Amino acid sequence: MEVIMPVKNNNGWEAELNPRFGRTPFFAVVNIEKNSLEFINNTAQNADSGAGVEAAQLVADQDSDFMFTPNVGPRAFSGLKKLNMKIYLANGTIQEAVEDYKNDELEEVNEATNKAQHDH
Amino acid sequence: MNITVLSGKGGTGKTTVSTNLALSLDNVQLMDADVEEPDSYIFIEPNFTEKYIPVNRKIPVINKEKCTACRKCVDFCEYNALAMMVDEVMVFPEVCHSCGGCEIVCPENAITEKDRELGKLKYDKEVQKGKIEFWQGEMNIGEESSTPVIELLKEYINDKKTTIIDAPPGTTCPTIEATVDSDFALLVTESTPFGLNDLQMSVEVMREVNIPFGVIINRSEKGEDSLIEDFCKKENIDILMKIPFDRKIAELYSEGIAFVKEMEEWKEKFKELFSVIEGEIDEKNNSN
Repeated sequence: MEVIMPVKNNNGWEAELNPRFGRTPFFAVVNIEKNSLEFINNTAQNADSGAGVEAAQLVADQDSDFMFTPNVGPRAFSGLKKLNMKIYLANGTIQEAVEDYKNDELEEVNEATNKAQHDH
Repeated sequence: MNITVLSGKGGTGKTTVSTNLALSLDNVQLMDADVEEPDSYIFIEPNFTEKYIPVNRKIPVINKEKCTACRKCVDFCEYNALAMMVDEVMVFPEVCHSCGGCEIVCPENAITEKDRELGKLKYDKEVQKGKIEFWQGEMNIGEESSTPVIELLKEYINDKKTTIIDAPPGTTCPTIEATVDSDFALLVTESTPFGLNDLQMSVEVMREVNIPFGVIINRSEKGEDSLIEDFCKKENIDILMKIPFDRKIAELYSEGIAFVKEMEEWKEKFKELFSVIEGEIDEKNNSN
């Protein structure tokens, strides 16, 4: 089982999940069975427009089984729901989110949690 | 002649200046180009015609039969308006800039374009018995790109009239689009640190696009304007008008009444402002 999450930094298991999905600096990829963790740079972080779409593309290409995230905007969500990937609402550190998942405490996301962010 | 009223900072009085200036002159065309939230109509009271002019732009349509999911279009799009989800290209119309590049790079000819309405132009050419021709651009809800609305609005500029454009706030693309073909720009500001900071940005832009400009201080108070006055003196910029921080002006504004309607003496001041602007434009034309 592989899970991907937007995170604020790449400081190991204590890195916190990032409520800014599209412009998060990193995604963490965790293999739950193997207890392995790696970080991916989010190339969408400084996109001029459509960061949510580009980040969703990155997540789609990673092809994980789940995503844990505190938030997901409407554009990213409309793309991600086409994937065979379940999205769960999670907060705190990577470690805590994984523990919460194992304890069956995470809620699945069925719609976007916030509005599209807007840049000029 | 074409005068644009702008300000770096929002809420400084662009609409106040535009509408009161328009109401003080004859044979004017007022264009509200603050298309994200046009509000000049409150003070002008037009009766818009029922028919409006749609602002359309092209967005891509993907022919799923022809698409081979090669991803060239997605990789090409600078604005992230396209994404490849599994083997399906998704279009995100609000972020599309209608460049048409995806259609060109598609090796399968699977992309065509269609029109999509992103805004409207409304107008009333006979406000105040024809003294004012009023135009308003507005964006449809959920749209993000206002520049196309302003571009189309400008195509209706009437050369036989004095055109006043109420620009969107800021110094980004929409403001520049509203300003760039003007003969003169009125920079409205207020004497606060924010007002000064954003005025400095506007001044920088005006110098870049080489449009003559002057400053209007709104909510001016005796002895309190030095922030702006010192800056203008240092930069050799004319302060063309001061609108006082006056209870009556504020009350009229809150009731949606342009203050020149109740304070006749201000009509003269706006007329004087206009002749100063005419003079500055002549001066620039003669020096060129």
